[in-house]
Amino acid sequence: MSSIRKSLFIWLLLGLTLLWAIAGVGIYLSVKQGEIAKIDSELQKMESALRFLGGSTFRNPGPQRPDHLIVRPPRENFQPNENRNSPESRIAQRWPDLLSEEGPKYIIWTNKDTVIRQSEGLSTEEFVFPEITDSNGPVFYNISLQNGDTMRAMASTFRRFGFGRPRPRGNEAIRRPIEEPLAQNEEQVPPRNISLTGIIALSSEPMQQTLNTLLFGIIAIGVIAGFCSFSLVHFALKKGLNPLYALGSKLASLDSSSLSHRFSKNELPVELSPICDHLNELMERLEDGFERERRFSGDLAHELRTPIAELKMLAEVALRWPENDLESHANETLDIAQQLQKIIESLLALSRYENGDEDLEFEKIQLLSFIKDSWNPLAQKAEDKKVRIDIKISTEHIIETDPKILRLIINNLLSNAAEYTPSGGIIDVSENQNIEGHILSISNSVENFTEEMLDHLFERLWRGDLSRTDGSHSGLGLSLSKACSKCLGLDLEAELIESDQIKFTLSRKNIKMSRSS
Amino acid sequence: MRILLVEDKNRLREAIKKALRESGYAVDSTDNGNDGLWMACENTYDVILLDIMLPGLDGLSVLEQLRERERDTPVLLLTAKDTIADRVKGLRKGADDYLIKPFALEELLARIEALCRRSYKKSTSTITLNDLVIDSSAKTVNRDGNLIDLTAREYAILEYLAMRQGAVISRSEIEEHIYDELVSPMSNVVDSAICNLRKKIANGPDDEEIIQTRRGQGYILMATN
Repeated sequence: MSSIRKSLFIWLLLGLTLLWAIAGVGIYLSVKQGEIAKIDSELQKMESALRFLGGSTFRNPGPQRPDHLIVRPPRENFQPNENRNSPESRIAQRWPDLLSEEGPKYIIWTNKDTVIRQSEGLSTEEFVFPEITDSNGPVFYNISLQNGDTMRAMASTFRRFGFGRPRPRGNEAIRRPIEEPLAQNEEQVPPRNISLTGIIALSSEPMQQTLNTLLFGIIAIGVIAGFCSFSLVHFALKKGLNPLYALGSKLASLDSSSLSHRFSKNELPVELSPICDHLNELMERLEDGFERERRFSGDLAHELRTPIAELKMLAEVALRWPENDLESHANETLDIAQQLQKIIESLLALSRYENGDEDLEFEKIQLLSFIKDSWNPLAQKAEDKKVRIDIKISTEHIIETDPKILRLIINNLLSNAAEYTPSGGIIDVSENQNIEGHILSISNSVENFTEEMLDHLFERLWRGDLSRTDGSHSGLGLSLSKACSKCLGLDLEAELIESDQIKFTLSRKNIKMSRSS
Repeated sequence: MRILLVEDKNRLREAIKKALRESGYAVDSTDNGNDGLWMACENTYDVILLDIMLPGLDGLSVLEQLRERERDTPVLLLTAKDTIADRVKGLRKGADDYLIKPFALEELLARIEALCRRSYKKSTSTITLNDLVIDSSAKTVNRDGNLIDLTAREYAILEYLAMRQGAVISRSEIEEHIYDELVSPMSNVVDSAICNLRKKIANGPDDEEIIQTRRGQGYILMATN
């Protein structure tokens, strides 16, 4: 069986988990991007160092130049505070980290095969010459070192400037052409105005540590958030579904004695309001149904218990105080037995017709003669009451139906009309050709009959006389007629006209009705 | 004892009436609620047997109006309505007992006796007066262990006097409680019945009468020394 709570619980939990995951990934990625941008910014700041390194030469304190070339004291011999800053000291001053072992790594090429400068201990296999052009600007990327470390690298091309092989000056300019091979003790210094390519890289370990800490934090918060979400969803669903459970409990507590109960919408959320309306409608129908059944049971009990009580009392009195008038006792007993038989037979017939257990035998009948046949046994009684019958049925009105069942219907309707029409009244039996499916209407005047009574008219054992004093009726006639009509595929309806005239209309649903030409 | 029977089913009403009369009760009867209410208010009854589903005024309305008029005559509801709700409703409206149709005659008579006893505040069915023992359930009278043969009417008078022993009962009260509408108020049936009763329950010619006459007031049944 599906469960709203379970389904909502799963979906909400999945939804919240997804949201938490998206939020976590988003935070992680944005922090990562920020960290990378920070490193890139650092690298960009160091581009000038790279340029400086590319443009400077580092000469070893080697053998002295030939005397004739010594024009001035060698540069190496200058004291820092004596002349100008050496490249090393300038680098040490401006980019102190650059020279340290843990600092940024760099490498500078003049071309793919020629490295002119690189950090100590740097492997050229790890720092591959990048294929970039001047116009590309710096390029950032990650490098994985052989020892497993990762670095963030910036590759750029730049023109050599500042330092380099000194311009030939004075005699040297005359004696040594530019293309002259370098002195043995002179470092390979690229000529000026050539394009250099360099990579400078910073370790991304700090960033990785930051990111790892962040990831751990996100996972830890995610676990806590997941637990909180679980509890929150559980609590919210429990609280949210409480009105539904309360409604269910109220429904479960209902029984046949509490059918008058109605559910109040004030206590329920608006979503349950339509359900509440439908439940109230259902309760009303159930109450009506139960009330009808209760009335039927009560009426049946009365109809059966009273004659039995009469029989029993007559028998006990006769046995205890015997009388000579046995014939009178026998007649009374017979009357009671017949009354009981009539009730039981009517109930059985009603059950049969309601269940549709009756075999139908259709035949064509002339309605006028059929009605006259039914009226004949009642004519004397009507005449005694000065009740007149007016039959307005055409002789051409032929219907095809089961005459046995139709007889039951017509007999009941005419018998009731003869019984309840006040003295001097008229019973009107008519047909209406203008209404499709109309078979006949029987109307007669009535006394003390209300619209409210009309609602119960076809109920089993219902009687207008609540005291049920008259034992000649049981209140099953009209319900039996209704069941018979249904059995024949007909509709039997009653209406009150001007409060003192009741009209029964028999019309067809699917009866074959023909009119002879 | 005088009983009002309100029942709309003729055959049942007549059968009960006959049984009650044969049992020594005076019975008035009617077949509708309006007459029933009028009779209950106008006459004094020891018990009222009331059907619920009655033409005119229904039994519960009769009962309700009776109690509103402060008539506390014990009422036994006789009805085919058998649900607990119906029984509770009837008892709450002021009925003293409830009997569902069909019922056994013995049970009806026993319940009527119980109601009569209750109305005269007697807890048992036996009334003892010196050596006179009246058994209201067996409808027998014994004196010194000897069964006294009484007619139903004589027994009813003796039982009524015994129920109210020590109190002076007027002739009209006896008529009201023992005789029904069939008895003419001008007749001397009460005096004649009392006379016969005295003779039957006397132990001998010198026996002091336990039913004494209070001139101009009525009769009193009291224990002798």
